[in-house]
Amino acid sequence: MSSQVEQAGRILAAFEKSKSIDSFFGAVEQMEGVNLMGLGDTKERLAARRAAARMWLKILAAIDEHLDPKFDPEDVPETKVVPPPSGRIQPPPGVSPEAITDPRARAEYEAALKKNAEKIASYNFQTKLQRLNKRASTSAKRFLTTYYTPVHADQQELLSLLREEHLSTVRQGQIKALFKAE
Amino acid sequence: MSNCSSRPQPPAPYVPHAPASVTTTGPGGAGPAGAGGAGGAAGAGGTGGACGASTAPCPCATATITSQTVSTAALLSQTRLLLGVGEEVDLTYSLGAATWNATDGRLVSMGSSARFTAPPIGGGVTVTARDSAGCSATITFTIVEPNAVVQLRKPGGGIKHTQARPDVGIQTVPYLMPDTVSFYNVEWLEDEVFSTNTGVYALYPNNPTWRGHHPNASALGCSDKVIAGQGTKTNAVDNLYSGDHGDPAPFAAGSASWPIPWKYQVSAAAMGGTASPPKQFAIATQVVTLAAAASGDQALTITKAGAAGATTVNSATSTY
Repeated sequence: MSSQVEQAGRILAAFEKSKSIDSFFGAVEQMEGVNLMGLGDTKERLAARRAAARMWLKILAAIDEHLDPKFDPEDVPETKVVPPPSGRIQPPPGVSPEAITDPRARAEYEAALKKNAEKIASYNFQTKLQRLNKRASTSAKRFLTTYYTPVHADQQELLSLLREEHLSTVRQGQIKALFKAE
Repeated sequence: MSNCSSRPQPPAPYVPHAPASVTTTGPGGAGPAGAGGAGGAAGAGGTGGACGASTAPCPCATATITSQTVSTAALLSQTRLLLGVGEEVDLTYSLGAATWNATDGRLVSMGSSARFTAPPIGGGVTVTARDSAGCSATITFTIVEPNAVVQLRKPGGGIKHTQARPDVGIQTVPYLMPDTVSFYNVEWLEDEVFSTNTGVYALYPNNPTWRGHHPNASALGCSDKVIAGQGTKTNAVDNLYSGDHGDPAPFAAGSASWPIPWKYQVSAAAMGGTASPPKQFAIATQVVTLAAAASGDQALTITKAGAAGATTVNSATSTY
């Protein structure tokens, strides 16, 4: 169990450096595989539970930190950019900038290419992060409701972890709501 | 499918708070690690007893795997057994904690449940859950690869054209067929290809700038929107345009045609770190046509994978 949490921590740390969203999924996969049932010793189980819960909260906090509230899924990127005309010549979309002889048109085109490339990267990042958020939220909820109970001591531990990991108010509310009586 | 031979009752699933919706059978399991001591026995003992010689019902007979796709595309059932490459499905074993195996694809085991990710190649995949009592169940999926590209005009999009020039362009939204699965974990690329040109377009220099197609350099993704007859909507707008080499009128009737290879890959996120190798699955042909003069004007058309736009040489200048 601890190796899975540690591996998730390593992946999370790597994500914070590289911002590679594809690798971030691996942290959630590691945590989804955490199973405390095999731990017989109560003290060991409690420590493992706390470590795993903390890692789930770190993952959720990292997701929240990178989700763009202004992201518009309908504003999709273009496959390729239409270059500006050079006199009577209008090159087709996607040509190499070197094919454009007018320096001003070429500079304008290179800026547009860079902007679209950034949009593709950002769009891919945000759409994958949204999917990861959905998955991680569900799996974290499953973990917390499996291994924590509404009793005072459990809730105190959770509250302490929520404070320590600086989760957003919204996220804290969602987690606290898991244990409210219906 | 489940097996059933002489064996004792399977163990209980792990049930921390014993919610009413969970039925437990067999001996009690370990409780949760309750700091406040609220943990405890998980399920009551079951009826037990060996199968086979006994008249008691064999517990393995009820062993099943249920599935629910992660995709919530409105067009598709979430319990379907037909999955797109890279598609994910949540599985639940009816008798509690189990060891999971799949003949292909990826599995993340979570005890009585698991998440299965379909492999990047089409075919049949069987997933098996086996519990510690020897009961097991299987579920078989058929994995489907993209097999065609459908393009539609971008809603509200116009025609790119310069008055008195033989140029034409439209913006389209690509979709991946078939429409019976979701390809939300699929990324796609077009490949480079040179055009075959006649008429005015034969004046375009025979070089990559004017005859190439200039495909997207970065893989683009797909949404989880699946439309009947169109398939999975991609996350991109495709700019189609003839280009204009600036050759003087008159313009000889002719065409330029690019048979563009389309490739798909399953994303690195779905594959566990590295995207699958790109695989060609379709040819989407883009064609620009300039018709012969009629009534003092010439018709211009552009088509690709079902999308089409039309104007004439003398039409007013307009844009996408």
